[in-house]
Amino acid sequence: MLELDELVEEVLLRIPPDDPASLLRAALVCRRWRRLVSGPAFRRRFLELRHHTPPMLGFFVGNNFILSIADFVPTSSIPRQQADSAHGCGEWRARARLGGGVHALPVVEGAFNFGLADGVGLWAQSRAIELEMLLPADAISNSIDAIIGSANGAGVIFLRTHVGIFAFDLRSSQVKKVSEARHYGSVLPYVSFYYTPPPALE
Amino acid sequence: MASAGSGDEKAAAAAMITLISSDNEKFEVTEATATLSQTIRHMIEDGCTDGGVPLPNVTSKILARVIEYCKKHATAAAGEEGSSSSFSDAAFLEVDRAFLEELEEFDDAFLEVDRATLFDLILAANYLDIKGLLNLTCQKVADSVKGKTPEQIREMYNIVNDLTPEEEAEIRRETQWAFE
Repeated sequence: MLELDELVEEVLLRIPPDDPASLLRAALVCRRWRRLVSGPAFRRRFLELRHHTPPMLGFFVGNNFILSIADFVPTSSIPRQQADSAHGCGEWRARARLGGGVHALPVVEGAFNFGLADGVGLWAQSRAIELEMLLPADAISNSIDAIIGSANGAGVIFLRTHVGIFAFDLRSSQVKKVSEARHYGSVLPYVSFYYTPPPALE
Repeated sequence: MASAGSGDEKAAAAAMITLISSDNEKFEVTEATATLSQTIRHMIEDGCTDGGVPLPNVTSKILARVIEYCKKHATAAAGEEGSSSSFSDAAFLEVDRAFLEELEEFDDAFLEVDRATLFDLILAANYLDIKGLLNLTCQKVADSVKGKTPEQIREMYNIVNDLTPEEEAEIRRETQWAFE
């Protein structure tokens, strides 16, 4: 049987990971909550519950040509769902299907299919994702430039298209348009807040 | 448990247990339903359930809801055991899927309660050690916190803010990006 603190912890552990800022706002509720969410044990369990996939807190985007400029885009600033009014793409949910063969780069075959390693970085495990169901029509009508970044461990990849940058969550198969920018050369996701100290240190 | 033969298991499934709420109401449930609670399972294993199981921390109103949950999920557990013996036949998978959907609908409807009841259910699930119910109810509260400001959370759950303005400012400064 759990004590009251542990029950509050059980609740806070289950705060949905797609909005990491919720956890920080919870830390501002009162001392008990702040103490609970900032402890190393909490962080370790928070990761365990998500199979050691930390939520992506945001990402830095850099320009290919001006390397010194990098903007930080927090996950919490990205709208939940961006409807594409021009094409009526209200919900972009992937029709992920298990596919044989390993393709590390986009393969264009009428539809935009490409294989990817799964979230944990096991390249032997590949899957094909039908991007035509995923991205608004104007994003795939011309070209998907490149995979310009991936959050190792967080299971997120970034696709650059000529209408902006999209983040694809490998676990939930959800896609979000994260930037209107077309000229960024690389994306560096930020997940390091959820540092897990080795148990021996506690 | 491991030593129990299949004949004993059948007898156990039909056995009835009496649960007694804090306000002295008696509930007759099957052992299969009652043993979703690890607490009661241990009591049964220790052979101390004759004359009923008193649950001084659970009111009849909450116990009735908890039993409702256990009945539904005990059926689900029994179904799983049954289907594992049959091969992964498409028809069986279809039945399984339909049942899982039904179970999800049941859980959603089950959670349509006021906040006080939800907390009582969490406490009861904790006391009776019912993993599935604890998970379900805690998740419901966690979902309700998402997207809320600290002020809204305090108001929702009657929490007194005991952080000093300085401490609050410090957290906000450290994690400014989250509040932009």
